[in-house]
Amino acid sequence: MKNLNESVKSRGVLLFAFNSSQVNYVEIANRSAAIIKKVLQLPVCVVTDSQEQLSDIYDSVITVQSQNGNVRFDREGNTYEWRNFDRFKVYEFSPYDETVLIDSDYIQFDKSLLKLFDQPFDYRLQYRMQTPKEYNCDEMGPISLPMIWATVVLFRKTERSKIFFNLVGRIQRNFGYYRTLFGIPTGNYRNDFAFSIANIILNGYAICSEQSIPWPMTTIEENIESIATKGKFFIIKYKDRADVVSRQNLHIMDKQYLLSENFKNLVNEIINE
Amino acid sequence: MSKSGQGFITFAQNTDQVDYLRLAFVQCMNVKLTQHNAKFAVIVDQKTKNAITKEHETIFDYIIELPYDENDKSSSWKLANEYQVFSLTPFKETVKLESDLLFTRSINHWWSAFRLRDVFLSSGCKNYRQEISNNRSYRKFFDDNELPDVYNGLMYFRYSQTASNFFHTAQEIYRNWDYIKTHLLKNCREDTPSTDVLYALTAKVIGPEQCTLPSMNFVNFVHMKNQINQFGGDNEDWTRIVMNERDDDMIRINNLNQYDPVHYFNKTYITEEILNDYRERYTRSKLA
Repeated sequence: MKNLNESVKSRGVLLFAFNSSQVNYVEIANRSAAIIKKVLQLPVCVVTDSQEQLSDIYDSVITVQSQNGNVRFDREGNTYEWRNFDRFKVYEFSPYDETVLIDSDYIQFDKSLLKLFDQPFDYRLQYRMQTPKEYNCDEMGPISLPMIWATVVLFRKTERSKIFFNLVGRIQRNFGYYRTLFGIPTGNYRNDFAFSIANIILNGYAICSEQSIPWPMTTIEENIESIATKGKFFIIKYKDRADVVSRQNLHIMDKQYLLSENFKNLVNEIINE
Repeated sequence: MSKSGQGFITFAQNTDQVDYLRLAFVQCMNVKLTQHNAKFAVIVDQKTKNAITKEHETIFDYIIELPYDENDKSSSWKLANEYQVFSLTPFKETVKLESDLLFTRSINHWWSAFRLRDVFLSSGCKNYRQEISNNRSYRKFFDDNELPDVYNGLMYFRYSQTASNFFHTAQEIYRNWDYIKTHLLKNCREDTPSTDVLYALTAKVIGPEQCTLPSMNFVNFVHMKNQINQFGGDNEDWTRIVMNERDDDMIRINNLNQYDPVHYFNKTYITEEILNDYRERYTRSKLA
């Protein structure tokens, strides 16, 4: 007899962790995964080129060959090795029917992303970003189109998602062509650009809000001294000032902070709550 | 002229710099390819009439010569005859277009909105991102004089008393421009009014409620003037600032499909390649 019950869909989080010469991304992923397990209560899969230093918290580990390095610049103009290629392969890597792909520096302090799975969608992207001070509306160039953030992507394994990630792959492989076509001044490949371009093309050459995660992503761009919890708030201290923000997911750009003792203690505090 | 049905009309009055007949010819084929069973009329002056070819006669449904030409022959500004469109149109319901505007899809559903007014001027304009433009760089004079924010790239009128009043008023304003600009308007530096200014002033005189319906903001078009699109100043041609490509009637600007009519503004946009593409597709559509 045919089983008419819908099968239970698997759902999980996927992280990429590729160490660079300057940043131990595997350790950041370990800490991020610990919080994900506690807060989202989902299995976590990591894609990495190095099993050394990998904690045993992961439900699955996908080991890939070492990537070529890219470079990125911080707010002070310092240059860092950045291994951001092949993000589009997440569609084939993910062992889940429903995947939350997040950068390991986007720390999941609340469950808001999970609410989106109540909605029908093929994929959802982060269109807007804000800092504690201001709302940002970034473009890919002075005369280009709006940039979305590949920091967090939710997708289901559907034909449209597959087409989307394949298109991101094509854009990565032909980035010189696409950056000229879309008026992107910087020659440095960014997943943000590739995801933005693919989304515009797949929407029929249109800016469409349908795929948007409906709230902005809060990003801390400055170097952090410490983060402390106080009830429903975080107190984020910098060198000469502080922000108080409600307890929410935070995209923390300061990688050295994410590797600090203070952040390690915050992770322990969260997972022991 | 007895009037019947509905259709599109434009003026083609060639100047030394611009072959408006060529633009109207491309527009006519564009209208026939995008609008179901559309009729198209062109109003020409004597000089432009001499440039009419057999091919033009085949494709335009009506070629109408201006009975009396009020334009200054030495000027490249050819707006003095605008008001005559009311008496010259062969249609009961007319969509008047500026000749440098192309459709990318059918606007059949707009006719229901048009019929809410005897005269319907589009309010505001869009940028290539399909957003209603809030750039006022070209509209300071409108703001100074509290004129309705109308654009003449595309307008509708029905053969009616209201439309008759509208065009008669426009004619009177044009004829008395020197007095009006000096005594009634603030900061007016136009020796001759542009059609947008003339029709905005006319709308203000007869009452914007008679000839606009800003809530129907889907009746609109994309205006490719640089500052509306945040392309900087007006020195550089927009086609050199961002990519543009065509896919049959769809126009893609900076990688975005344009679903509203495109007022391309820069007259050199119509290349021989575009002209020939329309010729080919129009001929093919006739054979189908």
